[in-house]
Amino acid sequence: MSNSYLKSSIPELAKALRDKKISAVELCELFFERIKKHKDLNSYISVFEKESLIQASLLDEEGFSEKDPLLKGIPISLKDIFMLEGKKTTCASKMLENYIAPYDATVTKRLKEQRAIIIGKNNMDEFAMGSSNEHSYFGPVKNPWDTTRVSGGSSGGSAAAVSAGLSQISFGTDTGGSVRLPASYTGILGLKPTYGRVSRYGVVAFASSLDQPGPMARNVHDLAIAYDAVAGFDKYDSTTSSNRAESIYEYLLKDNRKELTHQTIGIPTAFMKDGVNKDIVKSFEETLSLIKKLGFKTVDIELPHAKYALDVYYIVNPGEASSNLSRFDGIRFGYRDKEYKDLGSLYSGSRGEGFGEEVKRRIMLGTFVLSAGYYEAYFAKAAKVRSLIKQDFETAYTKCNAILMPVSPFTAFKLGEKMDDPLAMYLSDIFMVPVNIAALPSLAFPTGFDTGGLPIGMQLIGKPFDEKNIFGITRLIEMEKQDCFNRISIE
Amino acid sequence: MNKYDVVIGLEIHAQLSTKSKMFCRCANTYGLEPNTSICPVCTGQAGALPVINGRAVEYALRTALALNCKVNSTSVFSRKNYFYPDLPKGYQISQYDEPLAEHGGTEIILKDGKTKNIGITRVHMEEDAGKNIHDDKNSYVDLNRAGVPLVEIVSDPDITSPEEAVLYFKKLKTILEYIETCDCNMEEGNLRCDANISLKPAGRTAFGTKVEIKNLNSFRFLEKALSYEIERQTKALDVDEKIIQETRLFDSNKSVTRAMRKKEEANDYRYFPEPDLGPLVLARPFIDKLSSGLIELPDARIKRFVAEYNLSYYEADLFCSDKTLASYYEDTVKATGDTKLCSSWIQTVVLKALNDNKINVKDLTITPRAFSELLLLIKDGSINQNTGKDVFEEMLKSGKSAKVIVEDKGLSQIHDEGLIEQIVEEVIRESSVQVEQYRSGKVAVMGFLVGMVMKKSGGKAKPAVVNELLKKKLG
Amino acid sequence: MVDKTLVKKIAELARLNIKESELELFASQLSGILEHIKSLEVVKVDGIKPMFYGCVDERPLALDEIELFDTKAITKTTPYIENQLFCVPSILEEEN
Repeated sequence: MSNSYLKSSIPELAKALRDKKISAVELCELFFERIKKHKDLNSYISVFEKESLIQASLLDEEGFSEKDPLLKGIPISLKDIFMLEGKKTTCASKMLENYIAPYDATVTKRLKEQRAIIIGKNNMDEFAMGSSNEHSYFGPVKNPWDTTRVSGGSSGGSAAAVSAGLSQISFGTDTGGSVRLPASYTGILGLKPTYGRVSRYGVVAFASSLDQPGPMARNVHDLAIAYDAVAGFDKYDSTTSSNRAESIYEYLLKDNRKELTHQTIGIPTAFMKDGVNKDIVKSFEETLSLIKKLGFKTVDIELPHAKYALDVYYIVNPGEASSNLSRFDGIRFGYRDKEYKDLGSLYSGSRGEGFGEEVKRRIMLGTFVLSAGYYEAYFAKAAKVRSLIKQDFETAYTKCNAILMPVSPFTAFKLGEKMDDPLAMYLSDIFMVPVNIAALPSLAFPTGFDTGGLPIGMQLIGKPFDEKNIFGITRLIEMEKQDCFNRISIE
Repeated sequence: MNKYDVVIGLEIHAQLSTKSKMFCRCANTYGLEPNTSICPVCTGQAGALPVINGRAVEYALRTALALNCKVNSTSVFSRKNYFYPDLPKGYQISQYDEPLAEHGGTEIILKDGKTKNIGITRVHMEEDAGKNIHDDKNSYVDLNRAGVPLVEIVSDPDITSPEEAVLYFKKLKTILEYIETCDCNMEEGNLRCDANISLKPAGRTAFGTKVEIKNLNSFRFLEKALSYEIERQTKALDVDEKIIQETRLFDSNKSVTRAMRKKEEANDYRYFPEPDLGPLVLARPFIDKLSSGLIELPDARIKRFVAEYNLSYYEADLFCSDKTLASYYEDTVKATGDTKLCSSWIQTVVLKALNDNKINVKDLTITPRAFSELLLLIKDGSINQNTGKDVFEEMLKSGKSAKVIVEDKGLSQIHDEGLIEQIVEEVIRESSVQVEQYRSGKVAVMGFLVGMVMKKSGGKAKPAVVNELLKKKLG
Repeated sequence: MVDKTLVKKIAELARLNIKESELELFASQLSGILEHIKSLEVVKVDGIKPMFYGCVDERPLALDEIELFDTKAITKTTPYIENQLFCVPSILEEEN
């Protein structure tokens, strides 16, 4: 099967399916072949070859028409954090190694409604805790651009799959950058929607007030179609917003150039000042020039409390996570220690054995910041600083409509490089966590490569529920810099 | 004078009688096969999220208003974190520092007739845990009950005796029955009580060490447990022994409390606001509407009964302690117009029947309408009170109406004075000894003679008429 | 400063079995992280309301209606089931 279809967008594939230039079965086979070929990337935990091919052949029998959803017959993958009924959902943990999901996540349900074919579950950092996808019970994910390097995390498997052409699109989750970071390390797009935009029902909870499921794709249209499929209020998730999610893909089909380019883009110069890799600085400045060339105005903005966002994040996420992970005790499901002698050792043995190091570290950190005597100084304080950070963005948005920033101060690092120092790992998140803390949307997109050939990404941060705008602007950038988009990283 | 002051506070958990659970739509039903009313949410599966049951909020609100509490228009759900097999998520969603309602109270009527206000610190919502069952090998968890909506009612430490505690608990039960937010079936665990008790030297203001006693789920157990605790703590304090702050359980077989075997180190619950639920915001108009829509509560109903029906406080309280019984009384009074007759008949005949048959007035097959028919027959003289009692029994047994029974059995009271006079003369002839005694001054013998006439008339003579005739004839 | 004793206490609270040999490492890592987080101490937050939620939209409360669920899908997820009850070692004291 011709690899040229790997460069096709979803609308193009949909047309090819309608015109019978390719069948759904052939499309699936194309991806399964590549998954096998690039097994060493370790981007999948489960692959559903047989069922997918059966599903595809049924769809082929049905046929494809213009009335069908664009995602019909398209092979997609999901981070192994989304419940897929009847299939293992492991969160890359020994604790859930054999856990068969008893229900579908809302995201899964909505994708099934769009007739997409879920071909497998992607590898990730255990329970979404990590920035490099090296904390997986099933081994690290390798960066397709350079397999001695990390793919980024925690949605590393999803990113590697999309980047290497092992699925058309994928869905990950972003709590402190976990969609945007691996997207930028692997040269693809990733969206963190506004908190409350996409349902978390059926997504294994990490940090409840920060988690957002988000799509990952090789081009803007695919990303939009993926987002449209899942966005919107869900009655099973009390944290979703009733703010209407209008179709972004429909919006992008129109010519919005004039209204978009009237806007002002904010640049948080002070916040980005230190410690950024010079290739990234160069790419940022190139992107800035492009923005200006397109007609946008730019303005310098202050985010005075953004420098505290990382510390706020590393109090809030472990605190909430330590509570969310209490349900994993080996009693009703999950790993149960074989050698327990009583109830107490059943709990601590199952959890001690079932969780990896990083997870245990965060649970302990979280237990500490919530405990009596420390709650006020840590958790409660962090919540107040969080308000200040949100306020900073609200103030910035009186002067601009979106904010441009690099995703990370550095590009993909070597496997093992930061494993001995958790703190060094946490610092990868510095430009991403303010977005989660402030509950804003952010779209990460590829802007080039560093001198070592590693992808660089920028992010466009929007106002709450203003996904339309950041999609629109990114589309304009994509049209100017087509060589950065739609790339397959590996043969 | 008592050497020690007793200070008691009660924490009562009431299961709300909603159709579905607090945070998911599983059925809120008692007695199902184990683990058949469960779902990802109430079993704490990975990825599940809570969604608040609107009716549970309404019921909790109604409860708080009926307890005269001030409702907070914004309240917050918090996680109470601890590990226990019947707590599937490893935390309970409850309310902590911003509860639904606070600063209420309710009155109890003490033995001497005085009223006492028991303050209510707070009313808040939370979810119930599952149930643990044990055999000698293992323990087993049934999660049907996990997630059932609860309202927790915490009293101020205003209670000063086991008797007061029971009165308060009973009052709460009555109120909950009135507003129909809880089925109040204590055998099914709808209503559960924990007590906190401490003693202090009489007159001192500083409280003593508090001991908690859990699961006192009957009025009897509550009273016995508290009495035992007072005894135990008194004995200890008398010899200057320190009271250990601990949790104890009541052993109903031995009527004693004992410390829990498990070492209860103070649990650090690590409360924090539940991030999966925003704050609960209730609009003032909504709260006000519920408040003004509250049905007449026991206290108000008692006062009205006293005023409207000229009842004593005791009678009014007796009837109003059961909402259905109070309505039974009112409906009967409406139909018969006789407050006194209804009151005496309910107190003697009806309550006795309920007791004898071990049923509740809710299950009484004789409707107020049927009952009124019987009372009207007595009122208009068709039958006398004694016959009435027999007819009542028959109504219970056969389900037939009073009128039908009286007709079928020919029980109508004899009104024909001539007939009664005949019987009276017969008795006078046959009871010459007693007649002589009466005439010589033994007035009490009249009872015997009246009885004889009643017997001869098959109980159908009007006692008053018999009395009058006898007196006339015997001079 | 987090030392081995504190790590042990936290691990107990969180029901995590931490090997004796790992206590020291966790202690130093947690100390390092907490040291960094200390930077928040200087931030002035007087009068600032805490932000505990990502989105505080007004949402309708759920209707009180029963929704059925295939309970077998849940009881099937563990082998430790007897007579449809989740089986655990003896719980020493009955709280509820």
